[in-house]
Amino acid sequence: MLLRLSPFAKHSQSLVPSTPSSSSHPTSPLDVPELLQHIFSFLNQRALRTVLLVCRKWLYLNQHRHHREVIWDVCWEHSSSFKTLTRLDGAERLVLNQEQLSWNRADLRIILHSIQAAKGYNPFVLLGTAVDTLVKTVSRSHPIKGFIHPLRELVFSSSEFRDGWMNSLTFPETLTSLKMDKFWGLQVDIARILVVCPLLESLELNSSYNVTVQGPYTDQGKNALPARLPLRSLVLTNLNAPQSWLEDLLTLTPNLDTLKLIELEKYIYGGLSSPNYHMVFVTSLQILTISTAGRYANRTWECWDWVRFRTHLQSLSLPRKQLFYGEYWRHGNDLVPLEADLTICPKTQDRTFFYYNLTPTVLTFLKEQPVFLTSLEILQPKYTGCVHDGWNLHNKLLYTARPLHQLLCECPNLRHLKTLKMHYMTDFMDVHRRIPIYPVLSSTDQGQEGWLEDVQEALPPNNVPGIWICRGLETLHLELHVHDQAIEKGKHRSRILYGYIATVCPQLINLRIRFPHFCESLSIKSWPSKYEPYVLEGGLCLLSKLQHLERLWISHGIFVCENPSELNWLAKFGRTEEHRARRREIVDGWGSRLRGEAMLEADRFEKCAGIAGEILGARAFDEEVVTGLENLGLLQDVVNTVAEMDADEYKILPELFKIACGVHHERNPENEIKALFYSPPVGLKAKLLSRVSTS
Amino acid sequence: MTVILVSSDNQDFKVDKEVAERSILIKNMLEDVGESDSPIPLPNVTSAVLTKVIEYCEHHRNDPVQVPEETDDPRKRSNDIEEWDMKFMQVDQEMLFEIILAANYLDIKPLLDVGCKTVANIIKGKTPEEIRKAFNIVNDFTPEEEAQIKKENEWAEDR
Repeated sequence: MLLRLSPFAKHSQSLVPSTPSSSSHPTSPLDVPELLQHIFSFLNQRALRTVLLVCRKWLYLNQHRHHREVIWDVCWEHSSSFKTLTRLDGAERLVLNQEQLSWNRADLRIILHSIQAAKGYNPFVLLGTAVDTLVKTVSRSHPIKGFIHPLRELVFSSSEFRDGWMNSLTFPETLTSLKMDKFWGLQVDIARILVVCPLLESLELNSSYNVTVQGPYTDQGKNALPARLPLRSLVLTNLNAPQSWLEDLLTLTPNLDTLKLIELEKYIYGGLSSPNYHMVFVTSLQILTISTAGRYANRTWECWDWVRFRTHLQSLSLPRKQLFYGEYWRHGNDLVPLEADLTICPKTQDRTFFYYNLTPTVLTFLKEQPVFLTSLEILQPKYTGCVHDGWNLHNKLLYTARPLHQLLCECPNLRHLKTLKMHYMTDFMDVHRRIPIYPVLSSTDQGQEGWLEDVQEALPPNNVPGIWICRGLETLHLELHVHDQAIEKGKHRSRILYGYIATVCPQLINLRIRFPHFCESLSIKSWPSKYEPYVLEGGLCLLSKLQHLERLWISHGIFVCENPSELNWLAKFGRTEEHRARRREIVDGWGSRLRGEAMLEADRFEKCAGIAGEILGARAFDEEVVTGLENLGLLQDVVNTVAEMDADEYKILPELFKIACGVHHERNPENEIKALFYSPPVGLKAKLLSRVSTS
Repeated sequence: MTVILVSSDNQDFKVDKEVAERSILIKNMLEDVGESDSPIPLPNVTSAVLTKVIEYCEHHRNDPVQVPEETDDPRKRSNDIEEWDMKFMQVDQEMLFEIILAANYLDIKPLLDVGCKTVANIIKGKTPEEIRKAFNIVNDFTPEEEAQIKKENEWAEDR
């Protein structure tokens, strides 16, 4: 069992940290704890783990920065689950993903009750019933009595857990952050959570249907709720609650700087006339049904009044760094976030929009602000599919990706960008305009027939000049759209995407790209994607030059990559001479296609040499970018990178410590690659595992 | 307008007020004193260090005043040092430390940041033993304690 080390436990004569107020002039900043802390604040988790081992003082000063995270993801295979359980008690941040499991079985409830009654807090409380056999097995060899470190953060997502169970769950009182995702409706007593977790600074509740609330003034809540809550961030998706409920809550949260109400249900049926009243709110569609039936005829309509809400917010003098609210049924020309930001958060550096709100008008507004935008999040309302996002609007270019692209070309200070469902993004990245003339090279499994079809289907070019200028981007979450021609038509498009990102954003720390594998179009037709983002030809290795990347998440619903050597360069064990040779074999097989590519390139070069000036724009003098993008999209780009990766001095993603190739959570690269190419266990291990799963 | 700064070894430095006021300490002193020709003593800064500090402030005299960061980003970057600053910081460790201490004393936040980032970059990529050697730090862990922390680190790495 791991123990928490007391830095001064055995060495009473150890260095006592000096303070700047001490009269003698320090000779080194390392003697001044404040300066040491400042130095440490520039280190990443990997460097921090080394720093802890230097001396007792450095350990003492860094304990709070060390991030102990345990992820329980049912998408992971069995052995990982076993391993996860054995380390559960050391977690400070616990992520539970129980997507496919039931939380409602009787045996779980018995376990929960017994554990809740026990002294201390047992992490198994938070685990689902489907793992109870495993839990018992592990418990025999690793008896767990509670968390060793105070559990600070808890994230759990599930398609199904009973609200009653969740509303009676004994959350650890040490929690500072709680996030819950539930696919179905979530009816939650938020007041109880706030009472049980008095240190909570961040609360996020998401549901694809609705998050309904039991008013903050339930019997227990009303008396127990403190006058001030430390809450700083409140994010609620699909909230279905009376305005007064939230307004009341906000009066208790003087430190709240981030409030996001995503897809808020503006029209509420009912009222909070009685403090004991158990609210049941319904979606708009349900309201229609229920109204017809007359079941709630005695209740009244309530509608959110944004003017009143803004006035209320301003009267509270909250820090208000980030405010977003987007309503459930709003579309197109709605500029509510702009208005709200103008009046409520004039100096914010962080902004959130629904994707249809990022209009040219909003763009102009953003550029005129005195404060640099450093963080931008673009959300997509869940119920707006292709019909609403404009794809079918007579081939009219969506105005989401174009203004966003322009913004990225003009906003050098952006550090964090999260976007969803970006159409045409790879077209904008195609600085050489290679996409229209390279259909024949798009994929090995597409013949001439496929090419002709592509040409006929091709839309007019939607290219927008410019190269992203946000060179310091650290976080990029990008979700592409299946209707994007880029995804539909083949692998050279992914090479453009990966190659562009690796060259234009060299400072990336966290990269998530989601490739949709199907999408429902207007005709409700499923479009399976031919996209294979993991194979060597797809160009994932182009990202290998990112020297600061710590987390990588490449998600596609279908994992297609049969040869481990195509992908295992991500793990240390995949960089041996044996695997290098296998990669070279693959590359050698591209000979004829490379020749074809070279001919097309020579032809293109005659017409237009290099990147057009209008595209390069402000980056024209950035040699690194011009050179880096020279072969963008070409198979030759991958060939060159594979050759570079073979050199021992080439550092492949030196800071990478978490990766996921699929929809599951990220884990360490070695474990991820092993799991992706996992072969069934044999012999004793197989017997043991089968015994565990059947018992 | 110029002001006179006096180093700990009694050397006078005549600098533009605009340059001297990159230091918030000096700026506040000048505001408190008002119009005055009196030299400003800086007893914690030697002439060698003050020369470097003035060189930095001269170069950055037209930079916009840095607004105190209110970012909640738990992790700051150490890889965004400008080229000039990087060259400026190519000094021996003793001078680097002196510059950091002087920047802290004189309250010049951008210089303090660059100095601390430089030290952070020295730490990065080194083993604990290499760090101890680089900064002359004594390992005061018992072998058991060290083993225990290593075990925790492995726990964090292997997931």
